[in-house]
Amino acid sequence: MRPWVFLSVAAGALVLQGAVVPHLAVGQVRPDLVLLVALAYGLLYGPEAGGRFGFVSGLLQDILLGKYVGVFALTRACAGYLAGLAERRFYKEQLLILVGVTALASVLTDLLFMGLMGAFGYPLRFTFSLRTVVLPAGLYNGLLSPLVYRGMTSLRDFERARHKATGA
Amino acid sequence: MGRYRKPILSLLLVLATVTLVSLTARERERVSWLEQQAVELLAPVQAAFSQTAQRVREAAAGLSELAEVRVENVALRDQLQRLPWLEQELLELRAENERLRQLVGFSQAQPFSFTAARLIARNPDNWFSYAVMDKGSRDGIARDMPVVTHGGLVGRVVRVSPRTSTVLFLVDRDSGVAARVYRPGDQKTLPETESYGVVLGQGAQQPVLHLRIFSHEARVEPGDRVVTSGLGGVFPPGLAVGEVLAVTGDELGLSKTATVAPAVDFHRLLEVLIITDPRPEEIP
Repeated sequence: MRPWVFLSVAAGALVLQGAVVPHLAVGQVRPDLVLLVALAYGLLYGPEAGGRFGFVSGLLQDILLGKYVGVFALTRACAGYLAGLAERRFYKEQLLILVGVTALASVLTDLLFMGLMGAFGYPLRFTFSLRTVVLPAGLYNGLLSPLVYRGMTSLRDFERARHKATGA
Repeated sequence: MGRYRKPILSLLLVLATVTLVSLTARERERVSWLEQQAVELLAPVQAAFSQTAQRVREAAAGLSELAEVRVENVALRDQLQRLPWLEQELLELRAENERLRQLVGFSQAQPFSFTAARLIARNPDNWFSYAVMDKGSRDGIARDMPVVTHGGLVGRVVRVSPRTSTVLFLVDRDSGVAARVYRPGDQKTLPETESYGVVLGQGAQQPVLHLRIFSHEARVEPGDRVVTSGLGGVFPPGLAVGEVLAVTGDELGLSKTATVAPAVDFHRLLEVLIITDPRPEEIP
């Protein structure tokens, strides 16, 4: 993916996450579009690219809208990398697998986030957070993953077709 | 060496990021130039998206309300016949309102100056609770300024760039507000010494506040009102924080904690007022 497209996707996901996604909240839980894009990126391009995209989009989120700079860069990088590893082990075109992998990755990312925040003294109640945020958000993200994955696949195909057409 | 280059670089990047987190985890007086510029750059786009999303949401809500409108229509026709009576009532209320305003000198007693701001983006995660506003240092906004609505206290400004600023909501776990409890119309039952405490946010996933009451003898009850005490030096006294829902004591009976319903609905906030002179010379 060309660098400016890479950055535009990260920035676009972040803008939508900050301005639009809060309106999609179910109860107290909202989906995590930036994470979903990072996971889809990892699933499509492999662990290194996934980790890279996760890091850049997470860092953008930290700088633009974050409270602790670096937290989302680290967690998103891990998520993208793990998704990339899953790319070789699962048949991701299967809808249920895609939903399951995304939900699991979302839960792992949130657990990592909780661990990091706990290490830096941010007060979080583990069981309560698991019940009210981590698991519902995992489910919500999982359910939305086919949509985001489809979008990212179309973008990749478009990029490939353009690449072939220009012969670059 | 070549085969270790990537793992070593990755490790260094992780270490650098963890250091960055630990540095920014503390309360910062000023945000970095890079953060300011990045926020400034994206603010107009966020504002445009936020407005569009709001309009789409309102349109969707409008469609779902169409069925209700038919039923309402019948009821409204009925009410229309009562309109002359309502008009008369309105006139009386207006006159009464005017008298009361004059009586308490409300407009003169208002000690604050406000700057109105619109929320253009919210925190994108499920953990924290804050929002970006479309007013910044160019509009006279500074760190720690209280943010309110007509309903009550929203939070305080924690980050400022020239054209935007960030408000940390009361419900965020990093939020703490010095407060006191009062019982409307029955002040004698709640001595001042017993009514002070600190209101703590419980995180985005829990839309209630906890009031740690300093005195274990406090006779705080459900229905009591919680307002800012002014003791913390950040918030002026008397701003509505919420209403007590329940009170629990610890096992040893040394302290009490009240669960407080916030006076403000944080999910529906679109516009807010920033108090630009939170410490006026005289506060009634």
